[in-house]
Amino acid sequence: MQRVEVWLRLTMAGVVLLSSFLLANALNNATLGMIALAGITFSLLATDFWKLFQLERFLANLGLLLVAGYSVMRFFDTPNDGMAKLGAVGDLLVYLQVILLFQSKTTRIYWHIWVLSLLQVVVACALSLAFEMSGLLLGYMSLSIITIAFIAIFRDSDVARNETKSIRKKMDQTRSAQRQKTGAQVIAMQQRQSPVAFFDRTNISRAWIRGMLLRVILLTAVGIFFALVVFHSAPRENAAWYGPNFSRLNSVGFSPMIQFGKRGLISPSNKQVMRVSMTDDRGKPYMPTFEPYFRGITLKKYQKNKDGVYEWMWVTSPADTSNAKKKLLSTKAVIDSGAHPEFKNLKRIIQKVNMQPTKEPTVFSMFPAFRIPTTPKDLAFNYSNENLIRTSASDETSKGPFIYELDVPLYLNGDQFNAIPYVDEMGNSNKYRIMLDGGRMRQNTVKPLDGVELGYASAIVKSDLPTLVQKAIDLKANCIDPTNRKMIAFTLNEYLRDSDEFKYTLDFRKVEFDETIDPIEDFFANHKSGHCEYFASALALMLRAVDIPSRVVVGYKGGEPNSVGDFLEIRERDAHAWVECYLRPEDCDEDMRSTGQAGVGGAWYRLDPTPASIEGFASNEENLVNQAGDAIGYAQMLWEDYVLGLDRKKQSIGLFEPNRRILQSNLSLFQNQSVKDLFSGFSQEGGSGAFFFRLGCAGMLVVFMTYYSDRIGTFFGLFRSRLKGVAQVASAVNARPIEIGFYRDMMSVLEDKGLKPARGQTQLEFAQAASAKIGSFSLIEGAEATEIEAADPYAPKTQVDSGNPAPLIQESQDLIQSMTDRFLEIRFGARELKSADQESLGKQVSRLKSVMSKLTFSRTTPKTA
Amino acid sequence: MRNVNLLYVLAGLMFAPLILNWRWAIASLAGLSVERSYPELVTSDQPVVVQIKVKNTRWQLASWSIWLTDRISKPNSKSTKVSALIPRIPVQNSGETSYKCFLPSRGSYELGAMTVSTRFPLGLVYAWATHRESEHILVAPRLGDMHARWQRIAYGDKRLGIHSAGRHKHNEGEFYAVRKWQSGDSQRTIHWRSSAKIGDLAVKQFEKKGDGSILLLLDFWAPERPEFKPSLLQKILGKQEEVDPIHDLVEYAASLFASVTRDSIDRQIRLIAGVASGSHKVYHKSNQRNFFPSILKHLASAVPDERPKIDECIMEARELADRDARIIVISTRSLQAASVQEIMSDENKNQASLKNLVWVDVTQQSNQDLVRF
Repeated sequence: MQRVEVWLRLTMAGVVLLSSFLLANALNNATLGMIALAGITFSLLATDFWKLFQLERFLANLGLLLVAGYSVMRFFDTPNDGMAKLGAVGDLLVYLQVILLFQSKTTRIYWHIWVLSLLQVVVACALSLAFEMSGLLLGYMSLSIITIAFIAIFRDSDVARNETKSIRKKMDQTRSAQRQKTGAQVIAMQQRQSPVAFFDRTNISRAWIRGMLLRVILLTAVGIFFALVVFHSAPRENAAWYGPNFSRLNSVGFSPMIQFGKRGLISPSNKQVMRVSMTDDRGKPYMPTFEPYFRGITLKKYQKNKDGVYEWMWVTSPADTSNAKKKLLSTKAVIDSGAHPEFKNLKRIIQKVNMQPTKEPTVFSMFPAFRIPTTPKDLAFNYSNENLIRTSASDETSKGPFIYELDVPLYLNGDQFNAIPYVDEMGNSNKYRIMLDGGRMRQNTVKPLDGVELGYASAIVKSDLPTLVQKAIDLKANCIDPTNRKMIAFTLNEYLRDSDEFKYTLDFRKVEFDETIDPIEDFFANHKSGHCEYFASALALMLRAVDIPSRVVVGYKGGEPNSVGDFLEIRERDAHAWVECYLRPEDCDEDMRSTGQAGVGGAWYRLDPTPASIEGFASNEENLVNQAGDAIGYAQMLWEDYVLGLDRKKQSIGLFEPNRRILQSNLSLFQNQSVKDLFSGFSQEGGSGAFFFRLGCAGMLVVFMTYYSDRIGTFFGLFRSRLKGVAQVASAVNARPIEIGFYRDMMSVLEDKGLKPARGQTQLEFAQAASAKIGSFSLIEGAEATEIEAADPYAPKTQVDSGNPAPLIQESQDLIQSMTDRFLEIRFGARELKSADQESLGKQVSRLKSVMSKLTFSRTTPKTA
Repeated sequence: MRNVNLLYVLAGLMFAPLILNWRWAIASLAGLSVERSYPELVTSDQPVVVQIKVKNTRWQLASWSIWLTDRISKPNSKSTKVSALIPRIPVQNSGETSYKCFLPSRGSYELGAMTVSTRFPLGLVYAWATHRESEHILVAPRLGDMHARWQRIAYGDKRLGIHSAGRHKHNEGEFYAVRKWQSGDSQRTIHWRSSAKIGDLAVKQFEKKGDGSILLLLDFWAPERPEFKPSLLQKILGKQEEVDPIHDLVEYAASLFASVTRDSIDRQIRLIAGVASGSHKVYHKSNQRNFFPSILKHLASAVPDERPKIDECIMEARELADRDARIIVISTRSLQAASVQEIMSDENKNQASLKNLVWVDVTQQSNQDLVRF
């Protein structure tokens, strides 16, 4: 087996393995990957290396037919299931490939296997790939290119070998057929034969493979860069399609309820929920110094369900939100209302949320939040439950991340607001005509919390919670100002959070629960261990015990800052529950009112009683592991946003618009304000510009690296020039560089005889020196015989062999002088060569070569005529 | 249509190697000059090595995996293609390769329209350039070993010449050529350098005056051959010209003549050779350079004629030979058909006598096995 074939088999095995894994992942069918793995391993060992057995062509074809038939049946057995149909196609591709692997390998078989692997990857890509699979895709493509190169090498050696073999066989047959024939018959047979010719030098050296591989690897790098440019430049018409896999892999495991009674150890999930990037009013990335609260849903009703487990539930069904949705207020509307004079002076950030697919309509954001022009139209505010919702449900299979931008006001020192204005539920015929904080419309109709909502927010069964109620009453009594609701709320919150009486834990394995009592009473009075839901529930009930309406809010808190991509990565483990207590208008201070945290109907004030939350915002340490993690997170963001999710809008913002602006800029590029804006705009555009900027830099780097590595980059020069086509290349082959070529050829002939120009020697001087040196040459022994024997070894000796080199010496000296003169005329006399002259000079070079081949340097005195 | 971005990625990743392969392959062929070298004259069915030298005149970009496809053809016959590989031609340097061919019949073969091609590096694109300058290689008739019967037919009972150099002392004659080793030759006569070149043992030959001389003439007669114009369908099907048996015998006669000539030289017989076709030419060792190659070259390009000038050839050759020299004429017709009776009576005591004429008519079955291949 040739060395190249060993490499080809190994790389081909890699290609098959990667493609089948990609397909198996896309189809969510691990069995397929295992079949491919087993097939590759077994065929590589048993068929390729140990040669234990090989499938004959007939058997292989039979197997292919059977497999194809089976797959066709499966395909038509599932008329309405697209995934099942694709599964049947995917299975077929893998089975066909496995059968081919067990055949004797030829160039054709290798190509078939490779094409099947490519089809597998096409199916996999059509179904979309998770970020984790992107590495495999890149690996597949790189290995695939190398494999194709090996197939090409293999073909080059295989074709010649096979042709030579068949020609030799044919010649042997002809010779044996001629043995019994008469001379005339042999000649007659020959008259009907065609010429036979073959090439049998096909040894491929290791150096050749290595040199070629280096170039292929370079080509792969250039190819990937090229592919990226093509990918990002190809115009898009539709919104990006993420495929069914994206939804399956990324769906947020969010639940709109809190349920107690879970025992054992709770393991937080690392599944990503959303990425939040923030920019300030100058468009620069903003990373909060606090742990932001991303508000989700509010839970007001605490009740015991049929299973005997206490849970918080929605006031209204989550599905019944259609009548309650309303467009969010814009920042401008709030400012124009004049209700909050300090609102316009606040620090504001643009919060861009990239939320993973979910079936729940609830979306998350820092609150309060306001609409800006780029906010999607299907983002609305649900006045029933006072949360943000997504009103449109996209096709389940194409559901990608939901991306939305909102304007969020912050304190001037950058802290998040503690309260949001109360939104009134009228309870009359104009039930849902409420706005966020009494804005422009019907300020006079806004009333404080009352009616059904007040009932939900105040409901408590005090008999179930005797210890908790008593403690709340005691704490209220000991409060500095028992009439100030805010003060009372702070006191209760501090008690739970700071008293060290309660312990935050996710490990309930050693906690002894009393299942006969309310779980919150059990937490408060007995085990005093719990997570945020216990703490939030306890505080909400304590507040209700002292007649302060309250509710539990479920959302996310904190997140992991990504220093590479300047965004917060929110995972399921960041899920959090906290409390909002209702403050009547008279309980709200001027600061709350002027900044828009409180309206005429009062405010919901955020309280977080969970002890763990006071540890502060854990930012990543600048170590290698964290940076690597950030880089991976950033790469994932790029994959999802700019590979899977590149659509017309992103393309326009990230690529076309910057390029247009570059073209519009003048020559003093970097002095131009617009260009400065452009570069600053990269970060404003949420990283897209920066991505393309980096991509461009990387591309340039690849180009320069390629250019300077073994001069391979020549073909980049070809891209700049007009493509001339094959016909003109053919003429380039024919056109020998006569003008200076004849002199170069002459020098080459002389160099073979050890005649080289000395440093600084002119052409004329060299010609004279060379002629003088040639004067001492003598005939090569047997030179003439060599020439004649090449034609016919049995030929008689000719009269050329006179043993006298003088005529040849004289001729060579004349030729050198003549050609040097012509060279000087052309080089310095600006003369042009006619075609006849070119031909003549070409003949002179040939003649000189012929003459010099008979002469050699001799230390003895030459013979003279 | 969905906007499936991964398919764009995949398309880009597939498109890029295709484009790069295309440009690279085209660039690899630019600035290459091709040069063939081959023996000018070979005998039929003798292995011919054609050397190809390709020079890369570019200043950048070495050429890799260059295939050179040559077409070997003869008029009115099917051409043969052969490809030879040069793995790498460095910048401003040259690469060499060669192929071996067997040319089955006498005549001039065209080595033409060489295609220089490459699929480097990925094999996805085939780029080629054609070197349109054609060259020719002359193929002389095939040389064979003479049958023992030839001695009797041609020379009668008189044994002419010597059979091997080994049976003579070296100083008996002047070294003039080498020939293939035969059983009985002395090891001392082996010419090692020639043996190494031809890959077979060759022995030195020393010229020695033979006991007699012969006039060896070829009467190159054949009826006129209709011009072969294949129809389009025949061209597509690769239909070749149907050869008349007489033309096969013409080729056999040429081969027999060449073999006899070599045999006579090997035997150190004084030989005067002549070929008569549309014109005639007589070769005599004393006034011909490369005596045997000249004859072979003539035979390679000789065209049989309806009226070969055999009588003129005989007349000219007779003047160069002794009176007792045997005149052997190899012909594709009978003596009667050749109509040489007019000169038969023209006896001159200073010329070879026509009484010694041996007319070898190759159309006779018995003469079709005089040479073995």
